[in-house]
Amino acid sequence: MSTTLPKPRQLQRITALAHLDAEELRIEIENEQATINASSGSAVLGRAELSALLDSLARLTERLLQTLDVPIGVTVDQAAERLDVTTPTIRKWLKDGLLRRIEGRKPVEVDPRSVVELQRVLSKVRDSFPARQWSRALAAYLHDRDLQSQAWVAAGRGEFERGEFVER
Amino acid sequence: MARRQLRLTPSADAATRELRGEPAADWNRLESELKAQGCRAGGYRLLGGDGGWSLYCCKHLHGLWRVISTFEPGIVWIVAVGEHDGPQFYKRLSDELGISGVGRGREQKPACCGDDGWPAIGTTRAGGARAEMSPVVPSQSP
Repeated sequence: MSTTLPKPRQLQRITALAHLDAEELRIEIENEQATINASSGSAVLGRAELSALLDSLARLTERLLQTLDVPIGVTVDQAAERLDVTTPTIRKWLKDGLLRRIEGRKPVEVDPRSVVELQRVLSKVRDSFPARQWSRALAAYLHDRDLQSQAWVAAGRGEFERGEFVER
Repeated sequence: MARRQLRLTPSADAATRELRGEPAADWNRLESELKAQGCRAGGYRLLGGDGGWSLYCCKHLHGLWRVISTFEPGIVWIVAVGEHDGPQFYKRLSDELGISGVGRGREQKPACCGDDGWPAIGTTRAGGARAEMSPVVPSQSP
């Protein structure tokens, strides 16, 4: 390991990457907690023990994120590398709101949580919609998101969830 | 084979009654097909907000009209009927994301039913949206 202290700029980059990993860990834990809460089956660990374990991990992660709670995001290059796309694509996704930028940071920096969230969506979409081109799978996802955000769909889903119906 | 019961949400019911011309003719045809074939007539399965398969299917009627449906054994739910401004969406996709013309032709894939009946696609957790009602049983063909 080098004994040379990183320069401030390098430290910022390291912090950004650590933040990215911490966000990923947090989302992973949130998902596991949701799975446990939704499951009625038995597991290797008792439900209470497993839940306590995850609570502990969640607290740890929260502390880590508080330590790293500085308005520093990942660079466009870092986001592109993590998501396996080009930097122009990252800029387009920022413009479209698929990714969030850190306000006031120049050059542009990307909110780590938005990177992890999008990474998970892309991964799942690629599994769910096995197209040769990832862009086709993403377009399908965006299309369906757009369709389901229409007011008439939201109204119908609300009625459906309340069990309101007319029979024919 | 017994025909399925058709349930429409009040807003979907109202929308179908206001259809005229070709969308109305398409709807009448689809209504019969859904009662006879269930999810096999439902169009394609929509992706959910997390990128996985959702509980809902989409069928295109004439023009921009879309029918959003879901299924239970013996029951077809018409959740929503309305117009989706697809051309505007694809233009935005092209202009802002640099993705041109992809995502069209969704009618062919993936099928609403899946190979093993309903829901039978990926990790779809049907029934979760309406805990107070009977959950959709996997691997059946409603």
